[in-house]
Amino acid sequence: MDRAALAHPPYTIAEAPGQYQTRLKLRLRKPRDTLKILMPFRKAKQPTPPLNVWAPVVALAWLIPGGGHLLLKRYSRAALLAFAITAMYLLGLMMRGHLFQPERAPDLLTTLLHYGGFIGDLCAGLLYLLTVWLGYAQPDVPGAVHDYGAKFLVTAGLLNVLAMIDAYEIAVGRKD
Amino acid sequence: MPKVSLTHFEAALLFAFFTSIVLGVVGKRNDRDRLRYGLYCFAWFIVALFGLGWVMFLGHG
Repeated sequence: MDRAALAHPPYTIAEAPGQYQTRLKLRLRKPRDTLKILMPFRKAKQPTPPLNVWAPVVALAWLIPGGGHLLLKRYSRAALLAFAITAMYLLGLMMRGHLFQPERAPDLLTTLLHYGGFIGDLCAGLLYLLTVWLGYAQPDVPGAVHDYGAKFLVTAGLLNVLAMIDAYEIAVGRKD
Repeated sequence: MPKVSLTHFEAALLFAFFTSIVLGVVGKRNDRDRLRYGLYCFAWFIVALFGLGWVMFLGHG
């Protein structure tokens, strides 16, 4: 029986290969565990890597787009990430996009939009901090270009989150 | 900071371009696959762009 078949119970203990038979028997020791054989097997939980291995990489990846990859000596990937995320953020500024503020609104959806947008903007790291420190304060005005600008700013932050996750995976050895 | 004024198409094209670069870089495990995945994402962005454009055009009447 292959793993794909094991993921789709019910099946009997006799059908399962050796290592799964052992696990099934162990699970059946308690009466309530009978139900567990109806659940797909989960991967064994991987131990959490030490903080000092990945925290500086992730912090730098947040602060400078591509910085995490640079620290891990993945130069070409760092350059591509830095180029794409920074260019997107700068284009958002040049389109006079609105930076979201974490503020409450009369309805829940707008409140979520403000908070989500603020988190997205914040994820751009130093680009966002510099923008705020240098006094960029574009009001939220109607218009397609302004609207695109705001989306470019948030998306740059969200793409930086992907870069941070990638840097984390490289730092802990799950990816080359 | 200079101000730019782009059309919908130009803005969407740039959005697709930069997003595809990042998705390509983080999405796969070797350079060949990264390039292919980046181009694949870009192609789908363009297909979606034209598809949704036509849907909106036809839906608008």
